[in-house]
Parts: sequence; structure tokens; C-alpha cells
Amino acid sequence: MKHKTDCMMQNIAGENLLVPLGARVLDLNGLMTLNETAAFIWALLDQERTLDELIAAVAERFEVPSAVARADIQTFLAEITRLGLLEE
Amino acid sequence: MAPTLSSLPITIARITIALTSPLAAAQMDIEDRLGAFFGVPEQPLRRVALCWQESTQAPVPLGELIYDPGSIWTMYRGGGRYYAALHYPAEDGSSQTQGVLCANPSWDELNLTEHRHGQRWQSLLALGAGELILRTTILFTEGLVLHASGLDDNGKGIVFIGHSGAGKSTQAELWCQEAGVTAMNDDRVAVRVERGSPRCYGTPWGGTAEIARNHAAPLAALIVLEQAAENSMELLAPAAAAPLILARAFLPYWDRDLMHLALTNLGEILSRVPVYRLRCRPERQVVDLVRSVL
Repeated sequence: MKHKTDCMMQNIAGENLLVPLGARVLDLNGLMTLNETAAFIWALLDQERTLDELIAAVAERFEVPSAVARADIQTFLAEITRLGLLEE
Repeated sequence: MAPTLSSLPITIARITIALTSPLAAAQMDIEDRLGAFFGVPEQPLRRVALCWQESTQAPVPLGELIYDPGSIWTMYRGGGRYYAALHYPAEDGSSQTQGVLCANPSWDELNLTEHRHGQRWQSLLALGAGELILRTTILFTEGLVLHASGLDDNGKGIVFIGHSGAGKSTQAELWCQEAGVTAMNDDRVAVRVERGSPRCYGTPWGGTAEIARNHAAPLAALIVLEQAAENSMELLAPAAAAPLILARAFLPYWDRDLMHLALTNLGEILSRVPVYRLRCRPERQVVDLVRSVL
């Protein structure tokens, strides 16, 4: 899986903002702010990744058990899937 | 025989638009809106060449549609250039493309092609085309155009930010009655950090109070307006201010690289300028409250 390209993440004043581009502006109501974990996962999804790759990367980066990483990732994936930001 | 081209520099927020056109400013009917901005300051930060051309019929944008904000223009891209098709309702009620603004990637070589028609024709340079040129070229000078009203309170530039109806024009009108206050604009204000010092600039495009002065001031604060039953003012952390300002900035959503520039500029502005949230009633006491804080 990877994220769609009609959004960009940029850190502004310490805040990771997910900003829509092009046609996406009209159907995404406002901006999303990503916490550190979400921003890390979003950046990973610049490229095609498997769920296992995401879990391993998050577990290592934040020094958390795999089960915790999996839960965080699934929450975030559900959110961006709901918003249509994940490539099918 | 080639027509004689007239040259006219127009400078807004230290960006000089060097217009060449077979028509004089009066024929283009741009003097009322842009006349106060004719000329070149000593040190413009950027110079863009704008060539105006006439089309005998409605001009057609090239390339593929990349962004349609549902506004007065739509953006196309093709052959490494941007084409903004501008369409205003005509006198007969129809809405066809009346002008196409073509820009190179760095937005410093521009062509505006327009179809002149009707008795009261006015070049879109005085309207949406000029505004689109400013809001995009300013990105290359570390600036942004905000949906805001701006004023100079005895040497302190204050910019009130808000959506339509939030009270931008009301603030401009309230402050105008105070000694030492010059209202710059009540709808579109340019801001940027210049060698570490934030400044704000009036633009030619005013709002309901039609305030549009060629005036600049050191920028003391950005103030996000909200109507409320009681007056209060709080300082916002930059992280909290970023999404609020972003939602009220005129951004180039049609291009990733330009967006990156815009967001970088916003970050720089937020690192230098305090942002407040002002909840207020439309009354004179607000002036004292703001002055007591700044």
C-alpha cells in the first residue's frame, strides 16, 4: 500500500500538516494535523509498503512492542482510508 | 505595420509587473483599480514581464485541466506552462472564457490574452488576472497573500484575518476613525519576511469597504477574527496558528512545488510574527483591547 499523491505533508511551525492538492482540496474539508507517529507512517507510505514493513519500522523507531505499533498503524490507516487518501 | 506597444510598470508589494500592451492603460480601463500602483520603487524584489495580447474571439487555454476551484478561473497545464482560463459572467448573462493567463514555471514571463467585447469592457488585469499574478509571483519572494484586512496603526502593521463575514471590513472601518491609522486594504493583504523583518502591504483588491491603498508597514501581528458576544484576545502558539492562517491564505493548490514554497513562506512568517485570536463585538473598545496587547 502507499498513499495517494494528491496530498502533501509539510512541517509548519512544528506542526505536521497534511495539505490537499488539486481536486482533492474540494472534497477534503480542511486540513489534517498528524502527530509524530502518523507523520512517520505517512512518510513511509511515500513508497509501496506492506503492513509488516510498517509495523517493523514503527516498532523500531518508537521503541514499542509490535502489537502497539500494529494498533497505531491500523488506526491511522483506517482514518486515511476513510478520507480516500490510500491507493487501492 | 506592428502596433506600437506601450510599457507600464505596476508595482504591488515590491513586485513589479512590467506590462507591455498595444492598448494604453485608459483603453484597458485599469487606472481606477491599479493607478495608485503604477511605477517602480527603488528596489523591487522581483520583476515579471507581462505581455498583453488581444484575441478576436474567446481565447482557449492549452493543456489539461489540473485545478478547478469553482471560482472565476480554472488552471490548466501543458508544454511546461500554466494556463489560467478566466471567466466572468458577460453582460448578456453568459459565462465564457474572456481571458487566458499563460505563465512559465517561475511565473516571471506572463502573457494575458483577452477578448475585448461590449461597451464596458475592462481588462482582467484589474480583476482576477492581476490578483492571480500577485498571489503566485509573491511566493517567489517569500511572501503570501492573505484573505485579510490590513492597517497601519502609527507605524505598527496589523493584519486581521478571517473568512467573508468575520469582520475584516468592520475592523478596517472602526480603526480608520483613530488618529494615526491608515487602512491599507479590507480584503487582500500581502505579507512577507524581508531580511528578517516582517512587512505587510496593501493590494489593489479591496472588499466590501473598498479600501485598497498602496501602503506598507512593519508587520506587528496577525489577528484571527471571530465574532463573539464578549471581547477577548489570546496569543496562539505557532503550531495552533498554522492551520488557521493556512485556511485563509491564497494558496497554489494546483502545483506541488508552488505549494511547498507557499508553506515554507508561511512557516517563516509564523516564526517571526505573533498570531492572536480576537473574539470581539463590532465596537470601538476593540481598538483599545488590541492596542493594550500589542
